[in-house]
Amino acid sequence: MTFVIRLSGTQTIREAEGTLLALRDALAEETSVALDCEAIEEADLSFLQLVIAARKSARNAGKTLGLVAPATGPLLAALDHAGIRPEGDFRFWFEGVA
Amino acid sequence: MNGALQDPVETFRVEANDLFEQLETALLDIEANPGDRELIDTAFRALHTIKGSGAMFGFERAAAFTHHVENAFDMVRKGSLAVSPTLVEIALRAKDHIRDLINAPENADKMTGEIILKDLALLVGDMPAGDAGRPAPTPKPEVKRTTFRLHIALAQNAMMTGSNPLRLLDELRELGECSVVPVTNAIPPLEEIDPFGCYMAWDCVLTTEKPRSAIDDVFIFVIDDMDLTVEEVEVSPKLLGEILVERGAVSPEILQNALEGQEKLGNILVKEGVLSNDKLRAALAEQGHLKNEQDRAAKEGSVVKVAAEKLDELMDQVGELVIAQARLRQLAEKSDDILLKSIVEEIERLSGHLRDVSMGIRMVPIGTLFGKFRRLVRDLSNELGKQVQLSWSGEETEIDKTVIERLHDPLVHLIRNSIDHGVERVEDREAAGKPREGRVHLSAVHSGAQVLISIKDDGKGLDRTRIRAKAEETGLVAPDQELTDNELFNLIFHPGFSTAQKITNVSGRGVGMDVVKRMIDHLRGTIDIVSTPGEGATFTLRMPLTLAIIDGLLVRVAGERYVIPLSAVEECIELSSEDDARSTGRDFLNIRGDLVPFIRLRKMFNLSGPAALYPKVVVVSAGEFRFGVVVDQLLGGHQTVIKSLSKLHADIPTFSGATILGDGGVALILDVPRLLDFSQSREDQLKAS
Repeated sequence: MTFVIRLSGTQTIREAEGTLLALRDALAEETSVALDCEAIEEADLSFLQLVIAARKSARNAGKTLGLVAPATGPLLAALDHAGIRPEGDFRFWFEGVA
Repeated sequence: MNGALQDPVETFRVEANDLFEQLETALLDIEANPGDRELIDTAFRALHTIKGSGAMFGFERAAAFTHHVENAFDMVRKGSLAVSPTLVEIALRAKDHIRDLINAPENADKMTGEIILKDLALLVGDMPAGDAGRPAPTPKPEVKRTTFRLHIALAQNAMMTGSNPLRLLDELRELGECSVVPVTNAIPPLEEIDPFGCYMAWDCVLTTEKPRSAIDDVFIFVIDDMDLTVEEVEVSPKLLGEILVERGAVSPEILQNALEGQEKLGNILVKEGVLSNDKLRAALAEQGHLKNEQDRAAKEGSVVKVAAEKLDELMDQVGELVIAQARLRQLAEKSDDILLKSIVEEIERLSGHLRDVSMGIRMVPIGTLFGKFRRLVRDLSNELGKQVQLSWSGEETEIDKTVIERLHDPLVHLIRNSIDHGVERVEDREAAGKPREGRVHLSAVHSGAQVLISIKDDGKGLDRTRIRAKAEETGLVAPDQELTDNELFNLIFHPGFSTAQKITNVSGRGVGMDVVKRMIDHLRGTIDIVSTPGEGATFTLRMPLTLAIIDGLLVRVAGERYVIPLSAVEECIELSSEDDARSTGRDFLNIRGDLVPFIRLRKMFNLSGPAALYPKVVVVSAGEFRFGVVVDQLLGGHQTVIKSLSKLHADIPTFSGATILGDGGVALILDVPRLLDFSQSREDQLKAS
């Protein structure tokens, strides 16, 4: 059973602490976590880093973490600005787990 | 080089006209996709180059005027001005004005420029209006493109101090072509991460015309605490495999097989654990970037602009060579000298190749022409209050540049006609269950030595009843006369024929369609119309690929020689004595059950000479019509170099030109569609008398 975290509104450095806690709690409890990012209206580098960090933690703990659906809208724009393309270990951004 | 453009001002004008096309295309695209940053950049760059080069070549007025428009687009790039239909509208008008200021500065209207600047000032708010004469800042000379390899790692507290790393990357991208690859190995797992820290770093490859200092300027506020390395890189030399293939040492297939059997270096190193995925990605991105840069440089270096008249001159000379070669061949045929014959064959091969290459140089993709109609469709749709989308296919189809130039006006008429008469108003389309937006689709495709160009709309189609009524009213057809669809539709090409109930600026004056027909005939083309009520109409132009040299069929009539364009010839048959005798009253042949009319050139041209014992009929087609041309003898295929007739003979309708034969004699080239018209009108005259 995959645990879904719904993220919405702005996901920038201002919200980073809250998002970090949500990700940390979910990974502590669940073996499979998926992020629903469709309602995100703005994202910055801090959010991208948190998700990559969460992937690393999940992998280290033998768990999985991905996106419910391929990134779109503001999140996709942030990935593009950061130079993240659908290749290698960045593919998960562009592939949904649902 | 003699062929290259010499006059720098003229060279600038040619380049500026290319930029105007780019600018117009970008503006029309922006109108459809207002959020596309790349398009805004393209428009800005075009304006920037026009301004810079304009000032350099002494077009100060144009440069000063362009400066204002460029400023507006700079504001758009910086986010202080929004893209709006008004901005695009003003920019399009400005483009036309700049074009006038550069192409014919003496005729450019000062008032027009001032009105445009006032409108622009109103839009952007703070721009001074009416000072079209203010000199633009002196442009900096073009600097060479340099490729840099960068590694960017901001201080860990960079985001806490207010920097936005993604914005900095965007600013870097504004300097030129930039490949950005993130390096994420420094991002710790969730348990260790500081959510406000900046861990991601980037490897970039940037090709820019800006100096090295421009890169430092991007990071000016964070440079003291960050890790920034910048090094210049050479655009890589070719790979061994590429050189081997180019030198013919191995075939591309052999190389491909060898490479497929070999594991990629990057994968080997990653597997061995000596290279991280991040570093491999950065290196591959750099390789891709450098390859693109190399391709771009190679493409730029291999294009030379040549004045159009030089190409015409080249084609004339090639034509003369083909004629001389034909004469030489005729001479050689009479000789027993084997050496002479072999040299003649060699020259024939070379001149044939030269002819093909020269004709190839003159070939231009028709997309250059299609692109010009976007503005027409846009302006026309606005004027008529209709919504029309222009699309096209086959834009890569190549056709002789002279044909392309001369096709412009007829196509303008046909597109106007489609939008004005064909595509319905929005409310009518909705009532008919069609999408609100009408479509006009242009297409081009090669068909043998011809190219078929279609203008297709999804409007209401041609109104058969109204065309019929109008034709009867003007006495073009009798009330009880039966007409095929094609015959009926062709009436719209009759001079003075218009079914438009309301005269608009666009069409409906009855001048236009007959002019179209005349222009297409003149280019030895034909027009076919297909129309389905409620679904739309398609006009198909069938045009020759070139106007300079054609394949012809050489025939003899009463001792005179004529050329019939091979593209019009369907078949050749013998005129049996029974047919000949039977047809003296009515000139019809029965060809496999079809009745085909024929004309006798001997009679038509009043030729008196020995008649052939076994005359032949060349069956030719002009549009939908087939008819036979009776000749005495078929002399064979002939590479026909078309020479225009003198002004004195320009009015003779049945010939499209003349050609010089191998023996120095002259043969007239038959104009098949006009021959048909002429024979019909003569028949009508005879019947009337």
